[in-house]
Amino acid sequence: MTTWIDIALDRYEAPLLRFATRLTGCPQRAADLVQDAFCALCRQPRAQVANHLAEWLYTTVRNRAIDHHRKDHRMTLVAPDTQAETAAANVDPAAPVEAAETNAALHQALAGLSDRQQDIVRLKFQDGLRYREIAQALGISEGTVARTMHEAMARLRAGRRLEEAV
Amino acid sequence: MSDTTLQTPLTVDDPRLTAFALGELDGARAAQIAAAVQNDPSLAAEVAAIQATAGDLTAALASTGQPRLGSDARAAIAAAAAPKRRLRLVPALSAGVLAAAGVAVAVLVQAPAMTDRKPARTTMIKPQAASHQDSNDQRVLGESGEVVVTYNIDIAGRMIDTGGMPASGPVVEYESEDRLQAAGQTEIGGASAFGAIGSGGRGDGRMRREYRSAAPAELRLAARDLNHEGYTALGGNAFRATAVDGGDASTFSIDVDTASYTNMRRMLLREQRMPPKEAVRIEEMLNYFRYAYAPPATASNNPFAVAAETTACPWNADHRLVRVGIQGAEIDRTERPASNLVFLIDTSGSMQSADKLQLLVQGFHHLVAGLDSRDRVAIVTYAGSAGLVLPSTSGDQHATINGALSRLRAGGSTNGGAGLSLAYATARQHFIDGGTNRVILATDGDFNVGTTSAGSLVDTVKAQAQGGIQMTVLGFGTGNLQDGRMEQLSNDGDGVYHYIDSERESQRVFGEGLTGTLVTIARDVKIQVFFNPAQVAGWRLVGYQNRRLAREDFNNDQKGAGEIGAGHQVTALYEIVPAGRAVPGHIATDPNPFVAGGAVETSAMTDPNGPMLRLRLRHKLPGADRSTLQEFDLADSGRDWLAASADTRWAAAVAGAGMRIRGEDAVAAWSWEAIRATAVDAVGSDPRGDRREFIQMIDTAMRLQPDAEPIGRHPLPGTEGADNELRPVTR
Repeated sequence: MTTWIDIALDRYEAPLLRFATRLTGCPQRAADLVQDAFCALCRQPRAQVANHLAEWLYTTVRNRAIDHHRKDHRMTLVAPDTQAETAAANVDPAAPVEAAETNAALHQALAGLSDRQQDIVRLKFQDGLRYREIAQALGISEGTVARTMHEAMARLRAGRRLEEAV
Repeated sequence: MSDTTLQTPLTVDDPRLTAFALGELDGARAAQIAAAVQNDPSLAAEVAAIQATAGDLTAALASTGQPRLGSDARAAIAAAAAPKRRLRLVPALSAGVLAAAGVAVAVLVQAPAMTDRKPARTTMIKPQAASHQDSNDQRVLGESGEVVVTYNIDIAGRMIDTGGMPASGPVVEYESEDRLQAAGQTEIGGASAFGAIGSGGRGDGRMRREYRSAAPAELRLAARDLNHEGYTALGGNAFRATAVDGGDASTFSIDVDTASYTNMRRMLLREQRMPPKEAVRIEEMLNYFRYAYAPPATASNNPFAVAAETTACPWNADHRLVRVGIQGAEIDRTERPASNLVFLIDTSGSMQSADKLQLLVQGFHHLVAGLDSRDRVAIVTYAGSAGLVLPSTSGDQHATINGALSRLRAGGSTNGGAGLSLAYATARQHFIDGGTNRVILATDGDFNVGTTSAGSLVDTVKAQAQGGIQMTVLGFGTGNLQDGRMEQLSNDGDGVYHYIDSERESQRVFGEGLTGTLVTIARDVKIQVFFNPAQVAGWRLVGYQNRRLAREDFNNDQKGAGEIGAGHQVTALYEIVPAGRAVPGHIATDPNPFVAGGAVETSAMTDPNGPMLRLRLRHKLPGADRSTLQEFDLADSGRDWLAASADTRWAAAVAGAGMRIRGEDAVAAWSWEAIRATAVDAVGSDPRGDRREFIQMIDTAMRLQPDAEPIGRHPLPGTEGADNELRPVTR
């Protein structure tokens, strides 16, 4: 039997894993966070979350990531996380073969964006979120999303023009 | 706003243009932009270009390899989505496995009613940022605008009758927490679940804690910030003046953990970095090493012998140093009582790396090698769901046990609570009266608090320890170690906490030290020292910060304390300020005018020619409810540092290095060179090379954090004998 949870899982599993990995820098941690979020979703009355499922899921993942991070910050941060490098490949979002040759310039331009710009671009074009959902997911205002997206698009296009001119 | 003309002219710099191009604007606003674009070819070109880029981006980012959750995680979600909320079968424990093992146990676990749970209550949220701006205090304010959140957590009334079965359900959740998150608020409830376990708020069931937390909006998690190791800050280690009320006595619980030392060793030797000061627990450094302590006389009933020595203090010529050493009785391997062990193994995805699961399995192989037909072993794993990998099996079935260990694979998320319940239930089923009943938790420390309340975890562990099942905690790996939480769990579980950084260490804990690891010879061992104010102006206990007890706890047999295993040694150091000298940091108090002698002035009643201190120890024999008291007097021999025994010199060097790494002012005058020279001089025979290895750690530390300027060299001492200066108190 396919439940609404299954549908939500199919739709948001990969985007949330990517999102959580970007937040935490650690695919394993990300998988734990996403599992937690879906387990928490199961306890929500469907009517309460159905209209803003994406916002709810992204917010939950983000809050839990912050929670983990905050907990860690009460203690001492010492060195770069080595886990990120050694993590299993099956949940590593860096691994997908998205650097097709025709897109190389675009990826290069993307890498030149700020973290927040990249987040917004990915949430929009990779995960298909609306501005309103992105704003919720990142805990920022919709206006900020609009402004940041606009700047990001301008920079991406400028970067491509530069590439093409060379 | 039905007007389709814009109040200001639209330019290519307007974010609304991008929003329009991406279809993000609703009817009326979209119509406004559409009208403007229609009238301006440059805007129209811009929109077309944005849409082209958007199409390219969508194509470029459409990745072929979508990340997926592991099957364990999906199973856990499916279980959570199952319609029956309250009553749940532990998923991985299938009826088939149980039947095959011939074990008839209904593992039907009921989650406690949600009404038992009071949500974390916010009593005060102080925006500290404003009030601390002037002080420029980075620790309080933080780079990202931290605020201090204070709240109460009600942990009362949640422990459920444990009558032989798991007490807390595998899925115990704060509903309130999720509501908070859904509402987009900061999760005070979530933070409380973490905080409760690391803090020592026991006793009255209420905890009041302060946490620093970063404001979420300010928070950007950069990958480089993500070391998830968690350490609980230890309190300071200030001097206490004997003239101050209550300052004449020191009470603490013994501790035989060694995790802090091996964790530091990993950081200093393997990773070549300075350990964070919170990771340094000096008592665990001291107790890692073996000393030449005399065992208890075979004729005596004492499970341990105690000795002490006084010398000059090497880091402060005005002070004295007292070393107290305890030696637990050795028990022959063949006379060891039977052991009922349940390995509770974290097989979550984070355990994948070579320094975790692989090392863990090797360690358990060492342990299994020492077991025989008297013993029983079961293996429970937790990773998303909890599973009984190996039902309780006779300890001589090495191949079966090792086979089950070797088949362990990491993957999935963590649900420590479910695993814990299953492990305790299994241990309870096979309880050996008069034997060792123990759950051995092996993890990188990430108990998933998302589905388990930390408070009930602690309650479970405590209740099970009272019911005769101890918990030993083995920490593994790097980057994720929740050190403070692991230590707390082992303390609550009457067990020991080891950090396994290498196969050599697992050999040490499970091979040579197996009987010590398995056999408890004395429980609830407490030390109380009464100082003679006529000789002692002030004192401080080096280390043991989170082992301090209240003065009255000493005589309270209900109050638990540390255990001593067979052959274990415990070392403690006191730095003594002799009478007539100023106690550093001490602020004079006024006498109470209503009490004869002012209640704080005690020297009139004491003997200037008497002993320096009285050392008192309480312990319970395993299975006993009442404690036994031993008392000894110690007179200051006046022994010079040059005449100190090798053991005292070694302990002082270890403590000195620990205090230097912790940045304690008291040892600022003791240079790394002098500490190293002291250590080198006191190495002794060092059969296993442990002491020489520590000197390498000093080398790394002094390179990473050199002395600011040369500090005067300290004279080197030179005797080997370790006299016992204690005099038993007879009445």
